[in-house]
Amino acid sequence: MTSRAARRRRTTKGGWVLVAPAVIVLAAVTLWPLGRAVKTSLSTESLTTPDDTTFVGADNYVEVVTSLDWWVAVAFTMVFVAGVVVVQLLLAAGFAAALRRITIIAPYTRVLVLVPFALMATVVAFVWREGITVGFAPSWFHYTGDGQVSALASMAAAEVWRGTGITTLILLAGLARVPPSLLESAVADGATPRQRLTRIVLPAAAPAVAVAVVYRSLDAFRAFEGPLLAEPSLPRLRTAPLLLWDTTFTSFEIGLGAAMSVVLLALVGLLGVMLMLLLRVRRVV
Amino acid sequence: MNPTIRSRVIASATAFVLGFGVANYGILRVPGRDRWLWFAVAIVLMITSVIGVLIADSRRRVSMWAVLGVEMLAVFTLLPLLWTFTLATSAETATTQSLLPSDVQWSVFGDVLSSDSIRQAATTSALVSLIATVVSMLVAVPAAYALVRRRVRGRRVVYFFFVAVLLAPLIALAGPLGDQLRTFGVFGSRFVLVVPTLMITLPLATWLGVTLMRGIPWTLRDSVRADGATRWQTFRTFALPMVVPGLLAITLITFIAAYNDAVIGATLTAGDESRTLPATLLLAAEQLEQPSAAVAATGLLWLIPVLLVLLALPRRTIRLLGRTY
Repeated sequence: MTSRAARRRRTTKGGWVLVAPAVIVLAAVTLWPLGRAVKTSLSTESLTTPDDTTFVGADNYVEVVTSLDWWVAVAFTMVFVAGVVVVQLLLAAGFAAALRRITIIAPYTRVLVLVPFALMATVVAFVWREGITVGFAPSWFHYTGDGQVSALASMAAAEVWRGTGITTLILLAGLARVPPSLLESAVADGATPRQRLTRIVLPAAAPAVAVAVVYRSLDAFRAFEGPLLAEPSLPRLRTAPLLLWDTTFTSFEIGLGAAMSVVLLALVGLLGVMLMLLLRVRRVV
Repeated sequence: MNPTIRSRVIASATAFVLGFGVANYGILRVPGRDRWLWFAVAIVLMITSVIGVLIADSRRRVSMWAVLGVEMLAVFTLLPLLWTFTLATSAETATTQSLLPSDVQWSVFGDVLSSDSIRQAATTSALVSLIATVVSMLVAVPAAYALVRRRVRGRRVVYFFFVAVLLAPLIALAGPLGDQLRTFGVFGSRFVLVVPTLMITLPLATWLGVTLMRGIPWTLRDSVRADGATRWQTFRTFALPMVVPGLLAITLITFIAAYNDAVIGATLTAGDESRTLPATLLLAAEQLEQPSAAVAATGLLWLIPVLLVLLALPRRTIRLLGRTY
């Protein structure tokens, strides 16, 4: 009894000492701006007229939440995220299934999926915009590249291309959890490939799919370079982060921007928690 | 599991139909030299289908669907890369309409490497990312170890906090942070960018660290210690092969992620002296001569060391990035 308590004490000791510095640094770096955002959001501060700051309470929040622009941006972002994530998942599932079976020069074929990740996000967004609006795609598929659809497509293509690699790796790790003996006995029992997929592979890989969905959704939500480059061609359709960028860094309305920041963070937090609950993401530690 | 003859034949048929379709589209609708690219892809597909039919009844464990999938992956990854190269090496009259490079001009790479603004931006990015990565690793690795190996009260909350910051839209915090920097009078300085970059590197390093620590066979350490190893011997036989390569991979991935970020550079810097490289490419590309070629060339120049780094530790990197649940 005493030795067990002593062992417990030994393993508990030093735990918080090791974790504390990281927590303190991260809290300082994130909660301070957050606090300042809340403080600033309660006034009409603007960089262009800094002396004109008046305390307006929750007016900024009301303005954000009742603004049509904001909700259009949020809806647009959600649709964008949903589309991008679905395409990424489908492509990644195919690639992961293929890579699972190919074991020749295994690590190196798998590193092929990391190439898009290795290219800078800014460059990827730029290259896809050039390609789809004025480059090879209009001549291959016979359309004119100026217009909202092309801008939208280039935004989506950049995000999908860059993210499919990581999604493939996550799904690959998920597929590795499928017990091969179970698959073999299913084959022996006469299960069709579809039955094998739905009854064995999908349930075993479900945690990986859940993590991939949460991760890619939140990553696509905060995509910045693609939407910024597409902005000139999509004057009415902006993603929520881009709207925030315009408010804070182009119009310099800091008070309103701060309120928008808080609302955005709350929204993303809600989205993340909902996704995690919906997909039953397992807790990791 | 050995693929059946039927699955191989169906895969070969699919490959053939795809190849046929690609070739036809290439002939009928694709103008110019790109047609040859379409033909090349079509030929590869048809050869695959022929091989599939030939080995359909062999006992070798090759799955034709997997081969097809890897070919699709190669096309998916490499064609846009080729396009980046073409953009970089084409002369700057109007954006070239052909994906295949023509009239290759290598001068843009020299221009980019000697351009002052790019050099300055690259140095800023490197310094900021390096400092942020080092600081993050110093605090994140012990934290990851403790989260996995020690009973830390509230560790789930802590972990959740780190994941939340990892996935949060940091542009929301950039505004107030810039405000704060302006109040302190340090807005526009290079090194001040380290603080917001920590928002990227610290959660990432901790998250990857937790993945690493969870995958290490700790019982090996116990048995090494039980066999009477000294601390140095434990380090040499256990920590060095098991832990150190993983830590190296985490450091490199974190550095790459920090370097790549454009949001912080775009929102928290004022002028060219303090802007990071991605932000410069995003916002100030017009100042360069041949902007689109320069952007593409910079991307390729950055790609090479990153790929080398990722290829140096392929297994660790893949395991770290994949097994995060």
